[in-house]
Order: sequence, then structure tokens, then C-alpha cells
Amino acid sequence: MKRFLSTRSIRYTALGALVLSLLLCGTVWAATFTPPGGQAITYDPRGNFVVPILSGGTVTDRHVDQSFSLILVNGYGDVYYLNLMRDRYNYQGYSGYCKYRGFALSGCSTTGEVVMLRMKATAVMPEHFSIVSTSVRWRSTLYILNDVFRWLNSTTMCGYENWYPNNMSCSVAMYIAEGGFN
Amino acid sequence: MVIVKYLGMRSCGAAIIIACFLPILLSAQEAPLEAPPPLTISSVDQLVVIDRLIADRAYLNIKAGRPADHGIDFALLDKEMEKYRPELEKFDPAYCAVLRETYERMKAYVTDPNSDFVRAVQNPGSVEFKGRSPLPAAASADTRSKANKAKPSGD
Repeated sequence: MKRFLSTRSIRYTALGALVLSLLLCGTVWAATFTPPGGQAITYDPRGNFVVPILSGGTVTDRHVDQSFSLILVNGYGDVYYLNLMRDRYNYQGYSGYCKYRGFALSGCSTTGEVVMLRMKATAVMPEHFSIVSTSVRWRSTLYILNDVFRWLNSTTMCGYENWYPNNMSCSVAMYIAEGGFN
Repeated sequence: MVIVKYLGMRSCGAAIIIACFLPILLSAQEAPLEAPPPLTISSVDQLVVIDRLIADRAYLNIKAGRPADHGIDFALLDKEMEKYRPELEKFDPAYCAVLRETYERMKAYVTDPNSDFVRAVQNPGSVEFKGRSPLPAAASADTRSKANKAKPSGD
């Protein structure tokens, strides 16, 4: 008891509490992006999630933990992690993974694979983007989401979203959370 | 003398601990005492996520025991949508229609006290939305974890 209440023990306890407090308050657990006019979205820049990959009728799980050159978020809080795969003078191809939040269909994975096309502007058409992302349902059925969007202003992109096999569509807003287009 | 020194150190230790945790304690005790101000749209950036803003507000209302549409004046929002319509139509005439459709869907959810949206917030996981969930991101985590435990529907 006496040893427990010694000046040194109290000093160490106080120091420990200080260090713990600093760790809890100062550690960056994840990045945060706040869309203009929207709610803050928190994400891990390296992903750190498992994606089910459906191929040849079987599902394998892949742990995503890597750097990405472009991270997009949408108004629903979904995060798209992308890297440039193909760079041509009039278009670019990106691929990566996504983590969904605005998603409530039972058995659907909340992570998936993504490919994105960036069509550069021409004389007759402004720059626009098309994303195809996946979700594996009950580890057997592939659901596909398609987003087509373009720049509304310097910070916000918006457009359309459609789902397969569900007959469902809605508007979508997209933002660059991190990185950028090459 | 030893006791005084010991007590001094103890007070110092206690003061450090309090100083470290006081901000955390204070922030944890902050609670919304009043309903937030009426929902308004102040830019085209907000307009394109109008359904999300309604969903966020309705979610907070339901959680606070208020009607889902408390503080949401749809007549006012309609006027504000009209205000930004020319800007949006300049961007893409077709986009206005899909945005309006998304907005009307959300409006129907929050003005009906027995809607799937209201029931899903009150009892997470009780409603399965086909496709994109109208719930805000804050609510979807609870819903998802419960919904994923449900039996496969076979499609």
C-alpha cells in the first residue's frame, strides 16, 4: 500500500495518464473529408478492408491495404479508392476498390471492385466520368452499380446512378477527397 | 513535511489528470438542447445533395423523438430548388428531373410517419431497402449489421 502511494508511483501514474491522453487526442485514426454543404465522411486512405472477389463461380477475399492516387467520395458516404491504369490522350482508365455506406440490401457486401473511365473534354462534349462498382450478394450474385457524372463546378461533380439487377436509379454527387486526376 | 510533499504531488497528479481529460468530459456532456434551425439551401452544392440533407435532418429528428419532418419546410425547399433550377439546367437539363425524383422520394419518406425510412430509423434492420438506402450514413451501419444476418432471399 505504501509502495503504491509513493511519490514516484503517483508521478508515473500522472505521466502515464498524460501520455495516454495525448495518444487518444492526437492520433490520426483516419482521414476526414467534408463535402461542400454535406456531412463529414471519415475513411482510411489505405482502405484496410476486405473485398470479396467473385470469379469463376467462387469468391475469394482480398485485403486492401495500399496507397491510391485518387480517392472519391459521394454524397451517400461511399468511398472509391482508385489508381490510374491506362492513360490515353482522350480518355483514362482507373481501377480500385470501394467501400459503401449508403447500402442496405441484405447479404450484399459493403465493399467491392471499381473501374472508372474518365472521358476527356472534346469540342462537342464536356469531360465526364463513368464508374462501375460491384457488390457480391450472399457470396454468389454480382450486383453492379453504374454512376455517370461530370463537373458541376470546381468542387462538385454530379450525375446519375443506376443499379443492376435492381430497377433503381437516383441522383449522385461526387467529390475528390484525396489525390487527383493525372 | 513528507505528508505535505506527498499531498502536493498527489494534487499535482490529480490536476494533470483533470486537465487532460476535462476537454473530453466537457465535449462528451454537450447535448443538443434545442431543435436545429429550419433546413435551407444556400448553394447549388447543397441542392445536389438535398435528399441527403433531408435524410440527415429527419434522422436526427426521429432520434430526438420529434416528427421526422420537424424543421423541414418543403414549400420553402421547393422555392429554393426553383431558384437554382436555371443554374442546374445550364449544367444538364436532364439532371434536374432525376434530382427532383430523388428529392420527391425522400420527401415522401419523411412526411409519412409510418414510412419505411421512419421505421428503419426507429428499429434498425427492420426494413430492407431495394438498392440504395435512403438512410443517412450515420444510420446505415446499424441497419447493415442487422440486415446482413437476415436469411438469403434467394435472388
